[in-house]
Amino acid sequence: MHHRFHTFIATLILGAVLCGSAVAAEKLTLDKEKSKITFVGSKPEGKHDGGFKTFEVSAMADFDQAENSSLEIMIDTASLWSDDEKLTNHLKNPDFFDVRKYPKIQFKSTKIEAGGGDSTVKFIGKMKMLDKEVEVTIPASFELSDTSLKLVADFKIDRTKWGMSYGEGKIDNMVAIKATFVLNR
Amino acid sequence: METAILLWSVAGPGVVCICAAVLALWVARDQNGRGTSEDRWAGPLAAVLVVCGWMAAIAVPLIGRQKISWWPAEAWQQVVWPIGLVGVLLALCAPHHTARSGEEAGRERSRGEPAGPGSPTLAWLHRDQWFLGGLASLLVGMLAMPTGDGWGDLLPWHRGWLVAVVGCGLVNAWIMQQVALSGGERWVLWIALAGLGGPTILAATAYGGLAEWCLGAIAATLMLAIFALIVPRSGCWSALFPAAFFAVAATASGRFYTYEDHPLWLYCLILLLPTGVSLVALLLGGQRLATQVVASALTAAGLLAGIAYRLLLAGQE
Repeated sequence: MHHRFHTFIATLILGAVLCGSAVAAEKLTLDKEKSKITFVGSKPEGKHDGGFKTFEVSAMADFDQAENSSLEIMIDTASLWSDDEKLTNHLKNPDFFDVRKYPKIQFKSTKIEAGGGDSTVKFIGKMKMLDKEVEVTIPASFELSDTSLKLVADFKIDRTKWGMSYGEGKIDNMVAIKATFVLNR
Repeated sequence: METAILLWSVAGPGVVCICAAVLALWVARDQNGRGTSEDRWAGPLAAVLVVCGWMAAIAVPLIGRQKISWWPAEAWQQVVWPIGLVGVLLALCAPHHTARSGEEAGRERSRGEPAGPGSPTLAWLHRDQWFLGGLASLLVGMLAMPTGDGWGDLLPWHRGWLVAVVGCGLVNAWIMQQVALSGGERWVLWIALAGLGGPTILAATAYGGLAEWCLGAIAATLMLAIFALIVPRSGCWSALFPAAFFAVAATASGRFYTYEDHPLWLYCLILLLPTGVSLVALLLGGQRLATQVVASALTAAGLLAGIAYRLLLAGQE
């Protein structure tokens, strides 16, 4: 009897917490037309622009308490493009993204905290690429309006952390990434 | 060129091949170092040593650059085993002229004199060379193409490419052997070398790892081709068997790893380039050696230039 009473109280508390967070965090939907993910790969002789055409974003936002928010990005690697057709061909192969074997790149936030300045935020999470998960911190700026949230992240990653080491020494290990997400409220 | 590529894909395979060629020469020669051994098995053994050396040489870039284990993850790397098998079988069963040069044997055949093997076992091996090689080549065709969930959309290509790999591999190997046995054993490896050019260019347009491997095969074959030119009766021509199957397997892999739509005729040209060059060499068999070699070289250069133009330059602004 005593045990049943405890279970009942625990269920009530859990339900209240779940309902509470559901109310506080708002589900946002991606505006695919206005969102983009691009990257710049560099080498001593020059650089190339590229990006991904297809991706999904699942976002929950609590505008009062950032730590209650979450962000998940799923990129379709086969949608990769670049400013050179032959380079696109090469990037899709096992030297780089191996899109047949690893069709997705995933980022899942584990912690979201306020950034250094106004209208900035830091997404800390796991980025899974080439079947390897690495923790990354993505700094981003945001613009909030009544109808949407615009996130702009401009950062660099070390591709070799995911085992993408082809051309090391000839092609820069650091790749600049710019992601712009317009999320409708 | 990057130092690591130079080391693992050029120098490494070259050195391994030279060691194998010297060892094979030592086996094939008599104890006094004069002429070739009278032992009928010395030729086949030397040929197998050359093929094993060639296979070890092309394993160098895989080990050094791709960090492969004994059974690699990628299909194009796994194919190293069946290529070795088919190469060893064809080389073991090929007619070898251990007691006289290929040129002499060619002259004997042109006079209608059979080049007998001198041993019932060798006779059996010679007779069934293409049957055994054909069976083994099925494994090359089976493993040359990638499979798995991500490749489902390209599954309909598999049957056609299996036929292409097995058929073109056997035809190329057979016709190059005819060139070797018709007095071209010292320079036939240059035809095999030309055959590796197309797949290397195809791979270089899409997949660096595969291209580095092809470069390793080119370095290995080049070293043996030079060795065969310098040292008469070296038996190095046996490397044409694994080289022929390597070329077709690499073409198939290159096709699957490119996202560009190249025309069918281009793939046919890449696959059958050794046959085209060998036909020229055989058709000019009655001419002077220099005429035969120059015409073959010009044919190979012309075909390779066409392939390179279509793969690298055509369609670009």
